[in-house]
Amino acid sequence: MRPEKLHDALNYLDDDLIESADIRRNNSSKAKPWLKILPLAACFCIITVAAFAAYNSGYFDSTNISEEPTETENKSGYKEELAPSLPSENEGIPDEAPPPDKVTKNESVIIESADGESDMSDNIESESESEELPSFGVSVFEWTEDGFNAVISEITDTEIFPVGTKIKVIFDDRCNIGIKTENGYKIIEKQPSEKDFPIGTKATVLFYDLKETDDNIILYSSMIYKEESK
Amino acid sequence: MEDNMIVELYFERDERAIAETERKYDRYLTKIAFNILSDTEDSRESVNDTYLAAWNSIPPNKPSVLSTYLGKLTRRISIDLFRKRNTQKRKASEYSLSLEELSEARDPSSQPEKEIEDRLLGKAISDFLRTLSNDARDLFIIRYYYLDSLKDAAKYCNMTESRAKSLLFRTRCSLKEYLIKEGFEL
Repeated sequence: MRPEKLHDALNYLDDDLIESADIRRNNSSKAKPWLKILPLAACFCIITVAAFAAYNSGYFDSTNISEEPTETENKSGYKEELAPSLPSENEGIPDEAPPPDKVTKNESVIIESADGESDMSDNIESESESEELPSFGVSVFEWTEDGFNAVISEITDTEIFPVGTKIKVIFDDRCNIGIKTENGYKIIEKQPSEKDFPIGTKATVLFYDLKETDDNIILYSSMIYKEESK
Repeated sequence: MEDNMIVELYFERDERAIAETERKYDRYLTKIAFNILSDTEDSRESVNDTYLAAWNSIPPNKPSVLSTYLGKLTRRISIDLFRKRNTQKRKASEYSLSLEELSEARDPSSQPEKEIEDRLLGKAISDFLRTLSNDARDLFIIRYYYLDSLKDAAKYCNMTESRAKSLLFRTRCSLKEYLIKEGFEL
């Protein structure tokens, strides 16, 4: 079935389902004004309190002013002293390296064929393609005929299964190897093998399908990443 | 103005109906159009076509919730416009020209058949969505009906992006199994 057919069919969803989802969108967007005003209000309070404290402590005493201040300099000095770095939008959110399935703009991606010929492809934006392909950090413990068995060692961008879950990774000759480098990512058009990922190696598995059986959790992978060896 | 009053204006063929519709829903419809077309001008065109389609279809239709009715119109018009623009952008070639020619030879009576198929599939998807949790259902509709980005969809549903991604993945897998079980060809 072509994706277009599914999209056309979605136009015939029951109205009450659409309304329910729309209510959630509206409730969330109605909350925005408060979120936007709050940081500004917080900044204003900090500046006011700091100014009041500085005034009381005598900062504005004329003997403290340096010689020949320019108007601009004095103002900027004042600002630096009394307005310490304001909370940024992202404060409190730890920096994270982008997950390997997202190549952001301005990062270079080198695609290398199995025989070593390379092709530099700058500014590849693969977000739209791999945006919804999840991945796990795993530790390989056994190689099989059609892939390998591993244990989930790290949650990268999906929480379907917890750390410690045993999984079976299956891939075919369309699966490639990805290597995370300092400058971006290198893709090697070669099916992963035990030589590339020996037992004990940590890797990131990007998967396009999964199957849960009584005995196993099987991930079908299109790309397996490793760190560049130093 | 309440929806039922705006609908009344349509029934009275009062042109204020369009003005009131625009005042109340222009932003909402533009967002739907822009999610699909990613172009301001095209979105504007799509929304204007929506007002015309609403004028031409009310009456006989009498929607109780105007936002949903108009949203569906905008979505369909925007998707059609997107496909048309994509066709135009394809490099001129004998192949694409012949595709266009062949499409004219298609039996126009198959259009109602397509609509019936789409309605049946839409109903099946609705039935499937009703088996899901509220979170999973709303997330699916926000992402694939309203075509909001994954980031926005996660935000609307008060969940992290990674949880939204997992949930959508599982929902897609379950939907595939459901449609196969219901006899749809995939």
